[in-house]
Amino acid sequence: MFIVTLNATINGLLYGSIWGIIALGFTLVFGVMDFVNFAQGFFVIIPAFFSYFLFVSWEIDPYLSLLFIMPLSFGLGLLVYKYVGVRLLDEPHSAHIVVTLGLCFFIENLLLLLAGGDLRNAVTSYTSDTIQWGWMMMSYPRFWASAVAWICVFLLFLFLKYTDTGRSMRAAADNREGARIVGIHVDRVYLIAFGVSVLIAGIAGAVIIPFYLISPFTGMDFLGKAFAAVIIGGLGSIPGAMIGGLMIGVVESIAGVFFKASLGNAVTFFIMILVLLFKPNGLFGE
Amino acid sequence: MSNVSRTRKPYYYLGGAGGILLFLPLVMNDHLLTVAITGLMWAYLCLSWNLVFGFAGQFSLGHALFWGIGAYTSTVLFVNYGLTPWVGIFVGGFLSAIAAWLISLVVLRYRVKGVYFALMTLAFAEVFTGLALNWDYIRGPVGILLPMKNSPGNLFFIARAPYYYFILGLLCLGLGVTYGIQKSKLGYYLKAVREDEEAAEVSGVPSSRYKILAMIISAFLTALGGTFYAQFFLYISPEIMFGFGSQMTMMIGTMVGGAGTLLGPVLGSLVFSFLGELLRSLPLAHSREIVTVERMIWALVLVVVIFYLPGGLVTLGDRVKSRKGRPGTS
Repeated sequence: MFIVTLNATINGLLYGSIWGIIALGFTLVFGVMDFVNFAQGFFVIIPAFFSYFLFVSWEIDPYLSLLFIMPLSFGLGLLVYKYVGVRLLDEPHSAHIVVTLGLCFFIENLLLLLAGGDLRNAVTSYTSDTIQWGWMMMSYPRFWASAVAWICVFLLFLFLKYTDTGRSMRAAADNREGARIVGIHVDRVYLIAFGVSVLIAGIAGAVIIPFYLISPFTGMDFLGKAFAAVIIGGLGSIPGAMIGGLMIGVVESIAGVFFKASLGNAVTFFIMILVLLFKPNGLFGE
Repeated sequence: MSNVSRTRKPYYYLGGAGGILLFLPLVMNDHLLTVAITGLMWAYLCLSWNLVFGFAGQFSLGHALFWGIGAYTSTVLFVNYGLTPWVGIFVGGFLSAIAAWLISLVVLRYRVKGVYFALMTLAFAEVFTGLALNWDYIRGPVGILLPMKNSPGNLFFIARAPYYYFILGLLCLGLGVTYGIQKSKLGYYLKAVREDEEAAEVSGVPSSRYKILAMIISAFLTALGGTFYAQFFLYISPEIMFGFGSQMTMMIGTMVGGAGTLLGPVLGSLVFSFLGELLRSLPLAHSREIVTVERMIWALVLVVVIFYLPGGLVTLGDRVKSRKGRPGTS
């Protein structure tokens, strides 16, 4: 039982890295431009479906499809920002929520129309492979998905820390007017931040498809996980999003061992409520 | 033209519309009547949600919880204990009001606001979905099937018309409550709290008490709608009752019609019912995909209205008037 729990924990950490980067996109946009993007889950689902159809139609490996998905996701982000996001920046949060939920609803039903409501994943040659190391066992595609997630985190860290755009992003996050005064093109920075957030979501979508069953309705699940992770870690905090994601992954995985898997979601949201009450800035917020 | 006749006019229209609504079942066939009943039900639910969002300014995303509590309470009481839903509907309402009271207490005690309030209420609904799915007493994910029979004592009818009058009555109740709140001190207090909570507090408005009150009334009304859903559609499941779908419909109808107004939510919902029916009557429409297309149209209309008509459809008339160059005549 102990070993089962340990393996469940490891499995949870692998999943958690994915929830973490989905949450990362959400928190980045919130932190930089104070925008609440309820459509984040669907920016995972769209590329996941795209990757799935590339695999089914032309047997393009999901990891190879990242080559298409990354620019397309980034472009999608730019478009959504340009036509939707930018109009909402000065509106209250409730308007952000309503419009992005509307977007969710649109995309969900569009996908339903195009692809149907079946659950599906890309059954690649490595989908059911495992890595075994002593008592430790992990699923091969989950391991690599999580590795890609951490590479994303690392690159994002480098981007924010060392590039001019990244630095202006942090400046704009700290003080919008101040950033404008010192000559930062705040609008451009926002545009790029939104693009990057959708790009990260797209990567998550492509690496998740070899092992995770998706349907148009899964977008809402991803959204829920992103929220829970972001709230637990602290809204707007990038390390917080990753830690929150990992916690959710582990909690759900262990809940699956001791209770029923369908309680995992309830447990996650229960923790989220507790965190909101007792540490409203998140476990790791200031 | 005097000011009086100008302000009275809408009520004539309202009276006329009410009269027409009263006699509709005489001329409608069963299909149209079902459409009308569904439309009125959503109008009623939008009104209930509007009390919290439109009047108290609190963005609840967890009203599915109250809806589900209403439906499950009356249904479980009826199926397991034979209690008539005529009573169960109020038991559900009270349980739901208690849930709303507890949630509000927690939320206000810890000063959860804005986005956090939305996420918190959403999380409560999600927790309940998970619990309902795993609770065998209420038959978990299988859901509960209600018998189809004619038994007015238990609020079951074969004919459509009784359901129609029942939901019309509920809608009148919702309109009455909303109107009452709008015209009472509570309405003005809520408005003050919504516009600027700190200023309201400083002027001596106990904002917490009124927010809780709005939430409780809204939850009670929403739960009555839940019982109606169960009695009319005769099947409930955790996903239908506690899932996010109903919340989405309440939100879209209210926002499109006009949040914080008396007739906006009703108008919004009825427009969507009408649009849906129009879509179904098109010659090309003979597949299940029509529901999907309908929802895509909802989403588009929602986004367009928020961007170009932020006050909702109820402000359309004023917009047109002011375009004609008669601003400020009222």
